[in-house]
Amino acid sequence: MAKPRVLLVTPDFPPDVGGIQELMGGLAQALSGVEVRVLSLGQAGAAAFDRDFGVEVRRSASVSMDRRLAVLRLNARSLAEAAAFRPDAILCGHVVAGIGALALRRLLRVPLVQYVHADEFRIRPSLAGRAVRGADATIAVSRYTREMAIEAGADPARVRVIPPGIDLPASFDLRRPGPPTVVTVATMRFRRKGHDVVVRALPLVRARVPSVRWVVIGDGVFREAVENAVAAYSLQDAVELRGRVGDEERDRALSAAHAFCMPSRLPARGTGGEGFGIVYLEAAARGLPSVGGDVAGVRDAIVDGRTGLLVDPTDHIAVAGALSELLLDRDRSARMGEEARRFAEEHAWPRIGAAVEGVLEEVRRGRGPA
Amino acid sequence: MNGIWAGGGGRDGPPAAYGMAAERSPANEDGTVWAVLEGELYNRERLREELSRRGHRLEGEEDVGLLPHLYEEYGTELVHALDGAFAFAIWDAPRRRLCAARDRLGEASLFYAAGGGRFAVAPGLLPLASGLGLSEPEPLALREYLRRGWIGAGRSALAGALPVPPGHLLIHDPEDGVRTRRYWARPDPARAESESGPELRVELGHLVELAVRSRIGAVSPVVLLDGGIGSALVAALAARDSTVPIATFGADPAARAVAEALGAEHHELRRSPEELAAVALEMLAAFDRPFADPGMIVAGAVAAAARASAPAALGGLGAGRLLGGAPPARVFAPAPESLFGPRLVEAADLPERSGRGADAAAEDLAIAGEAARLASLRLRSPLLQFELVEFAATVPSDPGPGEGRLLRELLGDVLPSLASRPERAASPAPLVDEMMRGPLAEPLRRRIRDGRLTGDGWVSAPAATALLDEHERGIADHGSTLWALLVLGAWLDRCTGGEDG
Repeated sequence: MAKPRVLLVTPDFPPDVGGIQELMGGLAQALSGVEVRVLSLGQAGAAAFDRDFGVEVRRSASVSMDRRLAVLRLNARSLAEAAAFRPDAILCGHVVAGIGALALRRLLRVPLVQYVHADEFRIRPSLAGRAVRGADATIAVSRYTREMAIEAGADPARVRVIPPGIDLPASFDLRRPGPPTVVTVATMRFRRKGHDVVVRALPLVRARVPSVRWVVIGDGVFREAVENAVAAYSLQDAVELRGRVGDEERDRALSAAHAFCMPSRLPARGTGGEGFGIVYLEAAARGLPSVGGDVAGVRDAIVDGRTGLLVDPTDHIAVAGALSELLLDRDRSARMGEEARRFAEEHAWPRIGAAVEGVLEEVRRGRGPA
Repeated sequence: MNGIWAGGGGRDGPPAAYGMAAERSPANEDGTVWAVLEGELYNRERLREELSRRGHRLEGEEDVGLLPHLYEEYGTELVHALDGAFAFAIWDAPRRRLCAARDRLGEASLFYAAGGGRFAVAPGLLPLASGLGLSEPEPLALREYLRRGWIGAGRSALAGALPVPPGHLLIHDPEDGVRTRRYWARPDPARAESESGPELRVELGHLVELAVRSRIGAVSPVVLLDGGIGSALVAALAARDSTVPIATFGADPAARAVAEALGAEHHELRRSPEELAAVALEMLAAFDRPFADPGMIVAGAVAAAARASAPAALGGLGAGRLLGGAPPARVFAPAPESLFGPRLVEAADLPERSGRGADAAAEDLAIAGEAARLASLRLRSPLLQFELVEFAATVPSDPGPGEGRLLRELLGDVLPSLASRPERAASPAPLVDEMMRGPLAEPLRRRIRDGRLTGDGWVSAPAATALLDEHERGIADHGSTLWALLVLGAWLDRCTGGEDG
């Protein structure tokens, strides 16, 4: 019997970097029980990437265009693409593509599953509401996101929480011989990732762990601000801002560090923030405990006291306390590292892919998820 | 002032905490670490909670009691845990180490003297002077004072005494002697555009709100209104947070308009030049160091009025120079070289200073701080909260006509009717001109005749007399220069215990 066909419409897709991009790339490959076709936006390096990807990827417009215009074109293109592909279900990666996806659903009379993350409910609230109300099922990446979807009008019975998956590295080593190192992997496109709070925390960490180092991976418009803050605190000798690096170097940094830290916070007076925080899982997969903000989807990505520590992400004293604990009690952090790895294994792509296929199967049978 | 906090004899020998011990300063659990504090910690509740969580036994409710325990936790890095306007000293008896520090932006003062076999640290220049018997002014500093209207970074008016710069620690121990170390600076401003205007405003507004809340205190809030955007914004947020009407104090008509819009209980300072001159004379007898700015007279009178109803008040300091509002008007006219006496002519010419902006911001704080101190008023400045200042540094500034745009828009969110009002504030120049023709002329004449000002050769008596005559006859206005001379003269005489008034 031929596999069911699923059209995955997602403006965010690798090789572009970011949490949603990573999630969609991993998902496209993990859906082994269905035939997937991806429809996304064009971007530099896409041709080479798509050739080796193993799943059919079509692209329209470009990520470098104005995003609204690009998505309009994507939505238009999805009609033609769907007419040719004749999917049995549509999986939509972001609500900005949701309007086109809803049109397809009506036109082709096929079920639609909408992915939701978090920030879209703050930035595009009405669009997000229409998307989740119109979909046959909604996949929220965390309990927090689920609440937001329900708040936006989604039928609670049709919202399923499925966290992002990850590719597990084959091996990991809990012995980390180098100097006590904190690593952050986060884009510098947003303030809310919390680089500013880590800078403030670092002198307090250094009071207890004099040789502490902070390795920072990621780039963006706030890089200059982070550099200036590091200088203002005279921390240049303890901080390494590496910018954007390849996966291998990132993985090496995660494998050498003693604590992962990204005190991601909520935007002021708003909802949004981290829908989940895949990067905490990436760290966990390498046996690395995390310090994260006790807000938003991070509460699903870090199990407080087991795989890491959750603290008030705006409170540098609390962040410093958590980092010092992890760095000073190496036995405890190694135990947490093991727990973190086990937790990451629960999020391995084959499992997550199967869960998403389960939702697709349910909507195809004409009922929402239980 | 508490006198000298700590000092020591011998050649850079280990200090002793005699001032602190005499006051029975709060200590840690085993009585080996003592502290003394001038100022306030606004995150005291958070610090208390953290220390309790870490197993410290805290006694008393005073902020200073937290310091020995924080020192045990963080050593000299404890400064990074503090949100406040503070100068403190901590004596670590087992290590014979003294650690003193001044808050990030310099809201509080801290001075020290080291070398020549002496060491001392104190929260004011005069306590240091009387404690160590320093009375010799620093010629370069006095030149700078008369030329620019203030004494910039790295100098004090007294030879041998130095300010601990804002955001610096001072450490003295047997191994390494005395040294200062910067622990914080305002980050360089970013150039890259960041988020959109509305998003920025929400973030900034959130930070200002938190800062006001942490400084508002338990009693009904009092706000000093100077006619600027900053104090209006602080007042508007305080009023929004308060269940009772806030009280406002100010001398400017612009302040009245703000208070009316907020429904505040406003106290407008209306004093005749004679009454203000009386205030000025009282200030002359109490200045810790010379300040040339005549705006201080009215600021001091406003602070005194506020002090009569509350021990602490909020202000809008920092909006001008840190957040892109209009900086306070300064009316100093550089003193002509002809005024300099032989001691100042001798002094090597001043090296050109750069970084005038940072100096100017520090001077604003010093002036406001001194005016409040003289009235025994605790001045709380939410716009100087360090996270807020760091945030502001990441926002590309928008010079020219857009200056203060963000603050103004923020004010518009809170109180739309105020956002379009022009900012600030009458110049203090006419007032000081009038006072120097009236009740303050004779005190200056006396200083020129009898005081150290001319007697020690700092200022030429004939030139000063000529300047005063010219001013009194109305040939020209020299009010601000003459006020600067009067302040300096009074201060010099106080340094040696001379007559006041």
